[in-house]
Amino acid sequence: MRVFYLLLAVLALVTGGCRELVTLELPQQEPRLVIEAELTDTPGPHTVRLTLTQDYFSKAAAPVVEDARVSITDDAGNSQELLYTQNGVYATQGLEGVIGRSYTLRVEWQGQVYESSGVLSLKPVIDSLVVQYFEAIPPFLDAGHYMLFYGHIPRGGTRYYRFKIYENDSLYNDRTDLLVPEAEFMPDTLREVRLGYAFTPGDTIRLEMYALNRDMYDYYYELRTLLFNDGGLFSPPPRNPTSNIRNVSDPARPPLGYFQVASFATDTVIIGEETD
Amino acid sequence: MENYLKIAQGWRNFASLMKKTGPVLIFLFLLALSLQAQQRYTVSGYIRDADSGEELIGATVAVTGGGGLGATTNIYGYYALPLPAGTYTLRFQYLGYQTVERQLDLQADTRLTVALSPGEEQLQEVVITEQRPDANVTEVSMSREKLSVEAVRRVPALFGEVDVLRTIQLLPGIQTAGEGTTGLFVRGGAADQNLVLLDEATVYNASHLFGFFSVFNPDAIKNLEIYKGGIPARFGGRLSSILDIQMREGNNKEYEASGGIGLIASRLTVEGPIVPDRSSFIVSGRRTYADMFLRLSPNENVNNNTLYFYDLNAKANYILNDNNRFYLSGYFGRDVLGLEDIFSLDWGNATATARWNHLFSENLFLNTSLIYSNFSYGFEGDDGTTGFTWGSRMKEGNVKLDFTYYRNAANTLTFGLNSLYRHFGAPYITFDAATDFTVPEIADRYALENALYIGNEWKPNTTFTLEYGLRYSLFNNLGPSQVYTYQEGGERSNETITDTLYFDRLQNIQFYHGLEPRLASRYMLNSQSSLKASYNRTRQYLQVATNATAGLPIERWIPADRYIRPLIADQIALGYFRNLSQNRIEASVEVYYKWMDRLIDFKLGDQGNILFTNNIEAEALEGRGWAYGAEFLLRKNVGKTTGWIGYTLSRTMRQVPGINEGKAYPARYDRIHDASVVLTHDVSKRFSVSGTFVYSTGAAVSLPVGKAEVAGFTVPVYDDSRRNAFRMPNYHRLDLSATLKNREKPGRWWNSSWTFSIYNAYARKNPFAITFEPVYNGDPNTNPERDPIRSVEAGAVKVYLFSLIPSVTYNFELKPGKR
Repeated sequence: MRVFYLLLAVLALVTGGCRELVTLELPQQEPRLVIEAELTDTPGPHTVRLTLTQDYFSKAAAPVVEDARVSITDDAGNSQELLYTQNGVYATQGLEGVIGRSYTLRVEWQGQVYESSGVLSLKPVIDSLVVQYFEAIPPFLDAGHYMLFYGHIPRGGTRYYRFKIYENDSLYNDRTDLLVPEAEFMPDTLREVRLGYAFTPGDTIRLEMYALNRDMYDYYYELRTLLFNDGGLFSPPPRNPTSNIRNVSDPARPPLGYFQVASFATDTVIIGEETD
Repeated sequence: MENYLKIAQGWRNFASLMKKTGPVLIFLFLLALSLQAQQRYTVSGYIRDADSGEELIGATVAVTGGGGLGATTNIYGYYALPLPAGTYTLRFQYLGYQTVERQLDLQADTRLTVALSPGEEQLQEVVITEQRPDANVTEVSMSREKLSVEAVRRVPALFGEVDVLRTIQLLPGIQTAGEGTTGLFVRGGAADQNLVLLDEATVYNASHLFGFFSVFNPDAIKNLEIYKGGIPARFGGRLSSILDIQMREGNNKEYEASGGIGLIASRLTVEGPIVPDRSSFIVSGRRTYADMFLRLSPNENVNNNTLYFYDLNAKANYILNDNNRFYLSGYFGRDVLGLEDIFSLDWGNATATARWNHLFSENLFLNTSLIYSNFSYGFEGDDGTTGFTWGSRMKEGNVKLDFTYYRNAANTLTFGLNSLYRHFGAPYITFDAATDFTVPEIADRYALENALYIGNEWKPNTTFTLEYGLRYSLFNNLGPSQVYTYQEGGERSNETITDTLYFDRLQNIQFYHGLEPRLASRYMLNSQSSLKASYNRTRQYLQVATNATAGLPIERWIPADRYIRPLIADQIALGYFRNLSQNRIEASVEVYYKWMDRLIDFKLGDQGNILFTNNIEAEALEGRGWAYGAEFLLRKNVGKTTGWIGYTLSRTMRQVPGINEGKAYPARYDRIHDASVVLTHDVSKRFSVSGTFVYSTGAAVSLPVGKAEVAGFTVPVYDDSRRNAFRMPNYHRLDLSATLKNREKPGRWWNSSWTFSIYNAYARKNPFAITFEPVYNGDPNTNPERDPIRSVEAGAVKVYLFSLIPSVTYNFELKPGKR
């Protein structure tokens, strides 16, 4: 799909068209609760961040919610209330993520109760990360050191994954970095999968591979569709990604955001010498 | 909501009423056949252009002093007029041609073929003495627009490329999805609800360069007509409109060549007799050279690319004898886009039509057509690791029999049948080398669509005409295929599949059928004005699976199947037609209301899920739509100043459970106001100027009601119960052009002209799209991957395609026979 944005760019060049900033009178809406909750197969702390939506053109940081009650319960009888830390973030203390267990998030705020559940899926396996130099193929590929990924999915693992790439501990997080491979195309074994980043020698690159639940995969998929939306001409009309959290008190008013329950595998490589 | 329920209830009552009209129509047909006539003979023949021998479509023959008795030529130039024995004066007319009168003593069936001379010079004198054709008022047809290619040529064109679809978009009731797109949205219908026919062959994707141009080379086209409503029974298969385009036959008297050299494309047409007066051919080609401009770019990411399209039209015909004529025509066109050796994309249509006109008698005309058409696309890519090919092909074969029975002066019957087989090639991906990626195998789909129809135009007297018809369409979704079954009562998804059923080749999977009544009537208020009314039901058994508005060449057509039901639409229209100033000015007002049922939309809204799936039913949601409006048109076809002013006031709504919280919402191409002015003025015999002005309400869009921080992104937040509730800025644009012809000299065997045009003359930056995205350093053209980032904030970015675009085109005609 993304190929078409490139083609459109070529066409715009031919026709002398252009992009420019506009100011629009935008409609307003009451602030809505945004929940970003993540739980992994580690001892934690696992965090839940609560913020509010604000006007689109606002220059302020997102308003945070500090007075909510947040808890996570697993299906083995463990339950824990999260403590507020700062910047809208609530954290667990010693609640361990165990593969195969189901976790339920509960948020209470201003008389509304929000809930979501997810299962910690089997961990994917990273066999190795290999660095290889590639010559430039404009406009698709810059010259540089690329990482080739080798890994596999255990028997009984899911088809839904997200990759995160960190360069020197900073996450690549542009809309093009939302690496969520198509579930239909996902093989059991991944060999020589080149990640589309040209690195320079000396970089420390960390890769994380998350095993998602289906609803979380759909969330990322819809989020990416929204981030690439062209205003609805060649892409579908923009809409909020479907949250996997429901409002128990008032189902017609779901919150924004997600509860991601995901095991993950990680590996680090230092760019320098070519490895085989 | 309550309002809508009322509408829905009204609609159901109306639909059940219309189901009962079937028997009534059959009774009318029997009545038409049982009317026993007195001793009658038929005068029939062809009306042709005296210079080229080309048949004239829609030319009229009238009995002078005959109280409106007359006939019109069909698309093959044939007319037949049954009359009681007697002596008559017949008047043959066609706009822009000299009128011919013939005396006739009709004592037996008589063949009378007439050649009319193009009469531009005589036009001025003729205007005073001669009545203009008053077809606008007297014909039963409504909601129908004819455009001559000559009129299309005079409209200022983008890049100087004369374009029939862009010109059609300037007529009332026909909208575009956005600047730079040729998709038609007719009276609230979607782009896939138009049947686009080129010499009867379906053109599945009528656009070049992602929609900037249409595939119809104006040099190869003779006539075009669009039916927005009041669709006759002989047409079917799409809900909203029929765009019927005929290719030229070629001059059967002398060899000729014509062509043009434009800013981005050149054209060349050669035509002439194969056997003089019996047989002719025409070959017409066009190719763009947009990629030449890319080569000029200093940016090497741009100058290594190819980007062009070409069209080739060819046609030949042979008149065997008075009763038999054969035609062969074909079209082939492709777009090619290549980025070095890494990536290439090409797509295009091919059509072929073989036709046989046969006269069993003067009164019974049969056209038999064998038609093939296909649309295909292919990608090839190689990013240095694994190369891949991605493609798809849609094929259609069609057999048609169309009879016209000129029973008597009061009844003209048309009937026929149509059998159409479609192969919906699924998108496939293959990799050049072994790869671990599992590619889902998408199965091809097959369908058979048959139709039988009968229609009659009944003129009991000069004040009233009724055209009534009935079309019966039958559809089979055929194997080989596999069909999933789902848990009862639940949502359809991959998780709720219970079984897979396998079907063999040609085995029936699903059958649909239904009647499509068609009615149109005209009542003359006086010699200058009439009232018209029409109703039609249409069914559509295939559609494009998409939830975007504008089409891309990778669009996927899907047939109706066990889960996706065929679309149904009903439309009623009323019109008042009046001619002014001795028929020099045509005025009309039409109002319409259209109901569309079983429209589909998609859940997740990602094209990938729709393109690469075997169970599209798991993504589809079924809903309905309705559209209503009023169309005003004032048109002047003769004189020094010609053109039209059109205005449309309309609404187009959709309602799909599961979308927009189940509430009704406007379609993106809903335009409340849409106006256009198209004027051409002949300053002298050599020099003419023309201008076009368009104005329309901005597209209906969803705008963010806020923003949120999610997963490290700043994301616009939408109100999911207010889809398309807001508007883009209003659209308006002015185009101008001027044409200078060469001096006339006796004996000159060539003609040439220069056309200078300016598109978007006051350089308005009409938004093509508005996107909501992070803007770096306060400049939407900053590339965050290359440029240092000082700041980032949520912004709104307007994308516009065209600023002021000047262009120049040189056209020429060579007529060696005149030497």
